[in-house]
Amino acid sequence: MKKKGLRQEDYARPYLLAMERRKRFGVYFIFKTMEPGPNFRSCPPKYPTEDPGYRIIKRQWSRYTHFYFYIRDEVLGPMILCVGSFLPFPTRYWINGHSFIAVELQRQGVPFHKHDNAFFSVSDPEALQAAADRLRPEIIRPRLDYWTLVLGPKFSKKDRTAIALRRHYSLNQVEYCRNFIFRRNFPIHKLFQRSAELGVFCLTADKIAQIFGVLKHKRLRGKLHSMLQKLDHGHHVLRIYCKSLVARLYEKFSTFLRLEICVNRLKDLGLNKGLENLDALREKLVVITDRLAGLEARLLNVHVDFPLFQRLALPVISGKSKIPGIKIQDTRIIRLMEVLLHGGPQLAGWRTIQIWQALQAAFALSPQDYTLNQLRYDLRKMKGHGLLERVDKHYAYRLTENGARVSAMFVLFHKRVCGPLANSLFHHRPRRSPRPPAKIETAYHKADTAIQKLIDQLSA
Amino acid sequence: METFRKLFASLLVLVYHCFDRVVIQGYLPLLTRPEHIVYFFRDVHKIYPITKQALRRRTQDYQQWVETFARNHRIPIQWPIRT
Repeated sequence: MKKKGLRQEDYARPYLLAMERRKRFGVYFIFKTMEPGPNFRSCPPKYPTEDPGYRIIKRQWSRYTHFYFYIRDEVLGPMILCVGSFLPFPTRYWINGHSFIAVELQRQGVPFHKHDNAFFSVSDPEALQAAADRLRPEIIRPRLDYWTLVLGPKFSKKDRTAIALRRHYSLNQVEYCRNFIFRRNFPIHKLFQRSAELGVFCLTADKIAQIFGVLKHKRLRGKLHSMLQKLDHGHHVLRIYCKSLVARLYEKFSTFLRLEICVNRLKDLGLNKGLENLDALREKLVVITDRLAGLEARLLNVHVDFPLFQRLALPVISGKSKIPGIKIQDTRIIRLMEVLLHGGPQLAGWRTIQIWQALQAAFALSPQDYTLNQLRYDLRKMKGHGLLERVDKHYAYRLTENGARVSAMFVLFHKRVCGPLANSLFHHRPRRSPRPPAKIETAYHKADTAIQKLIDQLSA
Repeated sequence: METFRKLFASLLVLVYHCFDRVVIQGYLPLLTRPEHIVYFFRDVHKIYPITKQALRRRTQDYQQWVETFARNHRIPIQWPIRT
């Protein structure tokens, strides 16, 4: 029925924004749809009866017109009311906890930043949580009654005195979420991808049943498994199914991690579906999301790759000049880093001439092999990348904190990891025994074996 | 949750939990069964026999009311766009 990629809410949003600008409340859009719903059919009996007016009234499901009222409510915020136009006039209501919180915070004058259904920042986090906890049946019911009275089918006073025409409300679908907003520089995207992959493997049926607090038995109705979605989009969504409950774990906006539980059948949590059970449901879902958060924390505590070498290989702009990247295969830079790392602590920093002399002594270089100008060029490159800094206003240099780390990585990778292993692979592989009594030699042998195994498997 | 706080407290800006989407179903308990409908039309409104037209009249009345309401309040009313 709807345009591909455009939700009905998106279509009606400009009208909502217009209403917000005018600071008005009420209905701002109506969609008409043909949908299946419960209704009644009147048909004459198959065989004639004594009463000619006798009709069989049957309850059935068929398609008829439904009206979707898009409302801006002063308590619940934007909401949708759907009314079926055929007897018994069924109604459905969509409300959103985030909209309710936003209205509450606005009323209290608490500044916040919200996008879609996510809060990014708020000046008073406790006020936000308190507002979230205030969404209770006692607040929802009067608003639903009000809008049903205004927009629903009309019944006369006579009808109301003859039959109790008060609506009952039941929870059809509930989503409860726990949100973690990280600092901008934290690499949540990669961490979450890795943790989601690990999650699929470690979430066994027992663990899922434990998280959701359900009893696992042979005649369990529904699903009990986990899966990863949207892998090809690069935005992993870890879905965990338990009976008709679904937990979704996903990250969005690079800083936002959400654990969300969707309840389609309250009976799965041992509750009746009446609106009055909303508080009891909240208590159960808080506990479940809490357990999920514990699991997620353990899964997030993983190693992820950081493209250090790729980043350093890119040129950087310093003022008006472009400084070339530092490449892992650059022998001059590796030598320089090694000297700066292992040359002993220089409290007053290294003067250029001192570095030059140390390089010549350590690597048996003549002044022609590595000139002072070449050294100055290399130092400028390291300084441009923030690996080296001047000591006060003197012409003396020392490694920055990052510079020491990067140098250690470069030297270790080149000389301690890549170099010895490449030697084993292409030049000479030392025999396993006799082995020198050094732990590093044992590790090299293990790595040699593992690499050889990998090569064998690849060639098989 | 404690583990989460322990591991990532320094990296977190904000943590909160709340209801997201809530879908609520509303129904009139005394108009859900065929016998309720019979009572409503025959005994309350004295409409008998309860024909297809009698049932449909209620729908037409309501649909007409919605159209008028939308017109009076200048609210756009339309079928979803079909592609």
